[in-house]
Amino acid sequence: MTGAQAILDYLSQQGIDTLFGYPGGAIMPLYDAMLDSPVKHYLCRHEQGAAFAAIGYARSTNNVGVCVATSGPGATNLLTSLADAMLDSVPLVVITGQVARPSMGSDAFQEVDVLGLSLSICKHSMQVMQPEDLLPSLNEAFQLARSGRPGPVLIDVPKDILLGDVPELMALPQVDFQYPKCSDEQIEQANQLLDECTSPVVYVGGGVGMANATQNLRYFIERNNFPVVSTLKGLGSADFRHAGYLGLLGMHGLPAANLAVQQCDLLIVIGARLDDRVTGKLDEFAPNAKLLHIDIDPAEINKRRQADLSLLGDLNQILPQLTALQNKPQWLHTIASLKQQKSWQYADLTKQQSIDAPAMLRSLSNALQADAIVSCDVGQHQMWVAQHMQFNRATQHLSSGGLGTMGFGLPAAIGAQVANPQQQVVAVCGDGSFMMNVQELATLRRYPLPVKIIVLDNQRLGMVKQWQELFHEQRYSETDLSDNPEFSKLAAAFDIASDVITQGEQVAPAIKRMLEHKGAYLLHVRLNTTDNVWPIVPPNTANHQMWEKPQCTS
Amino acid sequence: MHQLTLLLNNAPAALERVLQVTRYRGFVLESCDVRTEQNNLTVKMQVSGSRPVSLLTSQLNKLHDLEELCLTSLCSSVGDSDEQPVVRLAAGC
Repeated sequence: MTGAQAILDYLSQQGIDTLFGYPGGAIMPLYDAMLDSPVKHYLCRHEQGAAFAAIGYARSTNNVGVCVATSGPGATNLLTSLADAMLDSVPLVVITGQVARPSMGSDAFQEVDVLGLSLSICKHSMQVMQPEDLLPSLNEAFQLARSGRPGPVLIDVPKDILLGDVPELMALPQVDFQYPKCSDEQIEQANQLLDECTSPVVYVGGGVGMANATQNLRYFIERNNFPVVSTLKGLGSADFRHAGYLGLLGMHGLPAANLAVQQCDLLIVIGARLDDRVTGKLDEFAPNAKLLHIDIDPAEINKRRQADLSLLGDLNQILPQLTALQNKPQWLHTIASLKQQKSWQYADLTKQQSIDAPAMLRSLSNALQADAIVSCDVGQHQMWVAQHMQFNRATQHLSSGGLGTMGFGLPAAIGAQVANPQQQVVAVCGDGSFMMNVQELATLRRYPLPVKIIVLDNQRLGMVKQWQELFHEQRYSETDLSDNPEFSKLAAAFDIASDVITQGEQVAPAIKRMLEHKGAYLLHVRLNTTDNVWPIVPPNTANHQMWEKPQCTS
Repeated sequence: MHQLTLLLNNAPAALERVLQVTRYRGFVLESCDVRTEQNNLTVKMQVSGSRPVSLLTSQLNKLHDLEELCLTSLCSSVGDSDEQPVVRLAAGC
């Protein structure tokens, strides 16, 4: 059996039936073997698109996504996606072809040191130098990608190993991972902290969904009536219908979420890393709070803020042990007032000339099926999605958080639709981001996939423009995108149906038409060029000093 | 100044990865001694930096090719060193 056949056999045995990728010289043996394999390959139109599709597949299913590419430019085109997966802890196995071993190190055609390039943006990187190492390395890669805190693993395979014979793997060795565990004493101390506090807030991160701990989290929250805030990646884990649910916190967090955290005396951080976009000015973040930090990754404890107590390990084992019961009516009353006082007043779209993006996205959210998956790009529209759309599971909200990669939305939606063929999948894109992986419209047509695309078009690189307006004295530099192509014509070139709307009253019927359409669809939504995301916490400012719309538009 | 002794699997790029993590997490390599023994590399390195060294050791601990890590914090006065073996908490995390 050749190395290429062995890889596909291994994938098949592991129940992995989907690959995303792009062929080329060094990886050709694998593509040749695909012709005789049940594993289905989805051809994207750029390696970055293929890897984002694998990320969309992984994030929408909580399974490992797999991507393949050739050496040289194929491999370098993957790097942005590897970094994206690393910063958002996405389980990904990426297989790259390499030039044949005798040519390695000679600056051969399409040779690049992808192993070296990938080291700092992968959980682990391997290069297979002996045929007998191929299958053990692949097996290790899959286990590593999903173990503990998940992440991307790269496996670089020289062409001659793909072409040559490899020994079969008789038994699949299990890698012996040692997971951190917290002691009974630490659990007791945590319960004591819960017992003693007067104003707790639960801060939910992406680790909850990835640990499949949503149910235990919700039980922990409901049982104690905890107020709860969420990071971008945490959205969907806590139940948005919970009375104390306050939504997104941080730089573009909702006012009630940020104010509650600033006032609390115990912050219970679960599966999160106190990222700078969350904390704002770090030494003024949650200034009155003790910090109880619960996570799988010891390196996140005390990284940005000292924890008063940390619990390391599997959330599904830890959360059920936190049994201290809360009854803090005064604090819950404060939270309820805050939530009511700061609730978002949505514009009435039927009475508006222009389209208000928050109101439109809330309207979209209400129109979608309960299990719909929404991906987005990066920028203003991404923050509006996080603020105003509601998700029942973290796997339904695909957003590039840590790396903030423009061009993420469309290919991620493609991967999500492949993984979830029966579910509605919507990509909410900005006009800037959409153009960054627009070639993937060809992938939509090829398979064909019924992804719905909404391009929120303010003819600007909106978030950069917002910062230039607010913090760079309105000196607009290279953020005018008014020369974008006509998006509906672009869609038509790929046989994708489309619509353009410019007025509030068009929103509801346009969303309805889009969702009723059987195939892929592009809805081009023209927005005012001047709209900004509110609130915003200015740089080096405490979160409670956020600028809310009324203060800033006067 | 801190002295770290690492036992690594002698895998391709294992040493590069240690050096990358050290630089990226804000530490300067002052000296480094590497020995190969069968399938392992023993790396003794001295690093300096203004951040708590735990921010470095916790990241090194995550490297899949790391078998053992031992930290010796070197104090300024000669002979006043305090050896603290750092238990590896989370392979593969």
